[in-house]
Amino acid sequence: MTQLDIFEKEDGDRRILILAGPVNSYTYTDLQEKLMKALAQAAFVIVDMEKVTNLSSAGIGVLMAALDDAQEAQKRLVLLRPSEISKLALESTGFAERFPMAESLREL
Amino acid sequence: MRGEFADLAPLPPVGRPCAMETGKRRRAAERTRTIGARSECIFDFEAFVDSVDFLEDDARNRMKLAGGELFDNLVRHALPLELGVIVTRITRHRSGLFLAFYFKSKAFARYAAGSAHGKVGPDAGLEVDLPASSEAPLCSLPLFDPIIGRWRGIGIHMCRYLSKSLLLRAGSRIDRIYIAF
Repeated sequence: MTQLDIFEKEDGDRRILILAGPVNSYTYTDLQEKLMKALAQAAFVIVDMEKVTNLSSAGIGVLMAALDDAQEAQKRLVLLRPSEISKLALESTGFAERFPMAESLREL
Repeated sequence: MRGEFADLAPLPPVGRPCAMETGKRRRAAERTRTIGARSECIFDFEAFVDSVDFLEDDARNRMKLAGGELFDNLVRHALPLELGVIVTRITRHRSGLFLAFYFKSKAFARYAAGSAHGKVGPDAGLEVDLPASSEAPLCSLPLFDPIIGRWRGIGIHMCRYLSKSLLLRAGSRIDRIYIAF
C-alpha cells in the first residue's frame, strides 16, 4: 500500500474517519486536514485505525494536536480498533494512555 | 551499484557473525535494497521491510517505525546525499536483528561532529552512540512547543524506545546508521 486512504462516514451526530494505509511523513497532512475538518463539524469524532500500516511521529503529532483541540473545545476524539503497529507507535511515545480507545463502535 | 556504493559489497554484515551451534555454522539472514533519498521513498522503505520474510510481526513493526523515523530524518535534514540513494540492509544474527543505512552526507557528518556523544571511531570517522531503550537516561518524554504549536522529540523518543541501540557513524568514505532490535 503506497497511500493513505481516508473514508468519511456519518453516524448520527458522530463523524467516523476510516484510515487505510500508512500515516507517515508523506501522508500525515491528508489526515491533519480531514481530522481538523471533522472536529470543526462534529462534537464526536472516531478514527478507525484497524487498517493503519504505519504510524510515524508526524502522524502521532497530528493525533496529539487533534486530541488537545478536542479537549479544549469539549469534544470527543476516540481511536477505534488501532492496529498492532499503531498501538506500538503510541506506546513508544508514552502517550498511549492519553488517547481514548475502543475495540468496537458498540462500546461508544 | 556504482561509485562509492560499489564499496558496500565487501562490507561485513552488521554485528558479529553467528557462533557455532551444534557443530554447524548458522548463516545470517540478510536483505539489502538501494532506496532513493527522497521523502516519497519512505513508501519504498516500508515496502522493503514488509518484503523481508525472516522478520516476525513485532520486529517488522519496530523496524518500520524506528527505521522510518531515521529514514525520514535523513531525507529531510541530511541532504544532499551523494548519489541520491540510501543503501538499506536488514540482518538477522543470533545476537539479534539489525537495520543499517549506508549513505554519504556532509550535513550528517556535521551533525555527528556536533553531538556531545561523538567520539573518534576505528576508521578515523566520527562515531555517535546514542543510548536506546525506554530506560536510557536521555529518554525524556516529548515536549509540546507552544511557540510552534506542536510536539517535539516524538521521533527520537520512538527510536530509543523501540530499539536496543542506535549508532550513528560518519566515516571518511561512507556514513552509517546502525539500529539493533
